[in-house]
Amino acid sequence: MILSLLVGLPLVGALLVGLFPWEKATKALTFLVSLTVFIYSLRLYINFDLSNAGFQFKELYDLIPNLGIHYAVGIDGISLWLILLTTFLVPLVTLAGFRAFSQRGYYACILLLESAVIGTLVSTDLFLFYVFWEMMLIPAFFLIGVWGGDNRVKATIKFVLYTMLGSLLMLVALLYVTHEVKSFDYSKIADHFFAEDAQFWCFLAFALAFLIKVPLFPFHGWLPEAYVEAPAGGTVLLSAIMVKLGVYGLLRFCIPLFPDAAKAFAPWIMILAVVGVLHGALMATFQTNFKKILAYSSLSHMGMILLGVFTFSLTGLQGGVLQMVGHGVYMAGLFLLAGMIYERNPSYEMSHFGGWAKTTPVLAALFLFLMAAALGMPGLAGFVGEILILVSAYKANAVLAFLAIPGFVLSAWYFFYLYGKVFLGPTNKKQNTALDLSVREIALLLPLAATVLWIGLSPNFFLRPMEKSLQANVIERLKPAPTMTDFAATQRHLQEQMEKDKKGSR
Amino acid sequence: MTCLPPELTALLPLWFVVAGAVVLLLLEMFSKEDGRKILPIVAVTFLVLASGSAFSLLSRQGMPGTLFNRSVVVDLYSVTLQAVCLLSALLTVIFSSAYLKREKAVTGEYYALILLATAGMIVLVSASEFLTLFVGLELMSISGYVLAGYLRIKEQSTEAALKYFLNGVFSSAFLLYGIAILYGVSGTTHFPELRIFLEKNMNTFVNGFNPAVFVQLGAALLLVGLGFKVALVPFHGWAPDVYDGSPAPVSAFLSTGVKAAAFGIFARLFTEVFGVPGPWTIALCVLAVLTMTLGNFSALGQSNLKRLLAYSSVAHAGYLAVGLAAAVGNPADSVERALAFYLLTYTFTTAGAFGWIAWASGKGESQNSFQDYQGLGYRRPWMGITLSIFMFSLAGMTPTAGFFGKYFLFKLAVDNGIIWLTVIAVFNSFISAFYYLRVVMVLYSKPEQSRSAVLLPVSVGLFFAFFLCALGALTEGFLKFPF
Repeated sequence: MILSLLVGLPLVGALLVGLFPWEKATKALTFLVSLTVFIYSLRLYINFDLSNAGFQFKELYDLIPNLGIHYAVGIDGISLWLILLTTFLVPLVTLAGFRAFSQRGYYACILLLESAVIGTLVSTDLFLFYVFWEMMLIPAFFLIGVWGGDNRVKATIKFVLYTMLGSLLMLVALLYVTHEVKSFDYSKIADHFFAEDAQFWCFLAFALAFLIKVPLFPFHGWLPEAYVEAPAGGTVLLSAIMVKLGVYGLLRFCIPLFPDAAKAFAPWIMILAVVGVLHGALMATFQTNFKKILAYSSLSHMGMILLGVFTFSLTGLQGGVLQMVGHGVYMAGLFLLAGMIYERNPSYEMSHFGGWAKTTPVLAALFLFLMAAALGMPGLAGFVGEILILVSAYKANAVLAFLAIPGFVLSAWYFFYLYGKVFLGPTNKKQNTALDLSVREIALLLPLAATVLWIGLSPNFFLRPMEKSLQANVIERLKPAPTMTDFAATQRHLQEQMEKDKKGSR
Repeated sequence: MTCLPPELTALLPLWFVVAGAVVLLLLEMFSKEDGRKILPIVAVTFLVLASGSAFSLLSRQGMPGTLFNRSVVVDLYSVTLQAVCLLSALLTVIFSSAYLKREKAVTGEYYALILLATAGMIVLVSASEFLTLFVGLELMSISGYVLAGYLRIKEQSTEAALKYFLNGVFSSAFLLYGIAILYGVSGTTHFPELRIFLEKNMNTFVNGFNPAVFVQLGAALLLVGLGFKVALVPFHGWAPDVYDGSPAPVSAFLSTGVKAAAFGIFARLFTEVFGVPGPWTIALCVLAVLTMTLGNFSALGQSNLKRLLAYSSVAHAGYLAVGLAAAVGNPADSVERALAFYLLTYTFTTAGAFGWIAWASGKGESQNSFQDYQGLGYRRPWMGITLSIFMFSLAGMTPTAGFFGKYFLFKLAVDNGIIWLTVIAVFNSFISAFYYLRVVMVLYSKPEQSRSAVLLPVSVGLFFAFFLCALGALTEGFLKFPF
């Protein structure tokens, strides 16, 4: 029941928020609901069976019986951290909006989005997955379109249409896949072998949906505008949570379901990922709007994650997933800080700022700390993931790994440039009245900072639960299945398997 | 009840609707000006009774099957479609009551005509034989012509009626020719018998001539005739003007109930009769592609909400045609289920949206452009959300019913191996998202000018109707469908 409650609680909460008679109390109600969800979600970690690589906390009910569609949920080590990341960030995002937003709609949308995201992460029925996946769009649409900045209409339409185009092609592939297998069950589909042609097209259709979400280099057109126009909370939900689901989709569906196609496409995706790393970093260098710098740096970092994932090595995959969590946490912090700066001086143009370190020292210090994590400072969240990714990328293709390195150099450049422009230098007399962070704001940023430190200092705590699942659900699926005629290979395969089991038991 | 013959009990919805029409006409004759307030209540009462009897039929074990010397068939499919048509009529009556008061045009004939048209729909969807089909179709259409021109002082309304009438009569002629040819070649007007004839004689020569040629000709004429009724491109010319020009509640009725009934029988013909391989599959594919593409691209350019919905209604006929094109090879009941589901969803959303226009557009429907709706979502949050739900559902976004409807239809095409058609349909639904979402954006944009139109008060009836539509659009996908 844990997973259903995690999906259902925010949904019920959203309804309550929508119907609650006293509008002023809705934000407190939202905070309470999301906090409850977070505390409840900790049970996932406590009861998680580390030795089990498959799905845990499984539930199965009929949804549309005459088509064989089920409500089937379950999580493994890959989805565990992403769910905890989501439930962890949502109360903080809610808290961050307390001053700027008082309409119930805003908070209802946050809870709806939380429900949809968790639903996407726990679904093990392809139809159910698609329903939740698309359901994310509606609250995101309202968050950007209603509570966004001046240019929000264009940004919203672009964001939704980009995402829908990918999803709809995925729908066709999903229809085909489920027609072939005659089942919507994830494990059954994963065990089914698809012909080369079918794999090629289905991989393309699925991957397009996920890569637009991530986004991979040529599909990122929606990102800068959506990030900049969305309200601070919306940007966090987008950049820290929703785009991670793109990578999750690749890990869960694209790669295991269509392994041969995945192997064939991997070099191309890695090249594009590196292009994305460099493109994002270069674009960030030339911005004058600091929220855009954060947006492009996020794009650059997502490229790194894809680079790690498509090495198909355990190190790379672990680095990718860890980096997803780390990136989610520090990017959330940076975008929330950007929102707090905007509340004090409504602008994102760096020329309108200067010398804020003097007037708002706590804000500046926290910004510097989270920024250091984003830069990849050893001991903080960004470092571990990036080093794992780079090492595995170097093993897979040294040239690509070297090509990605200027991305890091540039990220130091643009982050320090940003910091210097906003927080150092002469004080702009007009707004040196800006107040420092309030207790509420410090209270919501401290957990983020602590997590950043935690990931940086004991990455093994985070890596351990995902190891088995990544090995079994991604890497094993990529190995060519031994054919009946190839007797020697079969034997070798079995022997390897037995040795591995022995090692595992020791 | 048990002693009554099944002819009486199985068609109870029909008897209620006809009785309602007669009572309304009598009331109109004998009531004074202020007595007309009860007219919509009477109409609603009879429609609710009819719907109730339809539901009791649905929940009953075993269907009565064919009745009236095999001219009428009462099965799950026909009763489900009857329920859809009754729902459409019910919503129309509720939307009309405040609307007609505002336009100062309350009469009993109006409601009687709606009920008569509904009676026609019930006959049409239950027809098991060509002449019954034709009687139902004409009863429905003729009432529809009058309703389209109901606000006869308004130029647009008169134009709509004339266009609808001329096109409708023209298409009836095609239909009759088709029926005549099919009767001539097979000697029967009864659907199952015709199917047996088709299976036996499609590839053989009978008395020195090949019946396949004539069957194909007859099917082509039926396709044209029914294509006119459901507004498939290139037979759609009348539809945008009629849906745009008619009074908004009537547009709701014409674009949902009438279309649902016509599509219902269309689907029955092309699954249960022409469900054998033939040239109609490719013809329907072509019609579906044309209809979706043209409907969606025309809707893209609209800046008037009512006209946008008119074109969107054409586009949705295209999606339904995708299901029809995939009929051969799929089991008849899965095709019929998908179509009935889609028609129900479409009725919730499109009727709801036209009702919303009736509510919001001001006297004489003078304020219908996007500019007039700017910022309405802030002023009336719940009504804003209601229209947003309709738009999301029409765009086919999850978890609304619109997605499930499209899923079931496209699944038919994929199961049949027509993947190219599915890809085109999916691209169309992508294009449609553009204009549906634009409507939502308009509701939540800052108004450039202050709005003068007076919104109708949201009475209990209107509240109930909008609530029902929104609830249906949100939850239909998760409910247990009758079959």
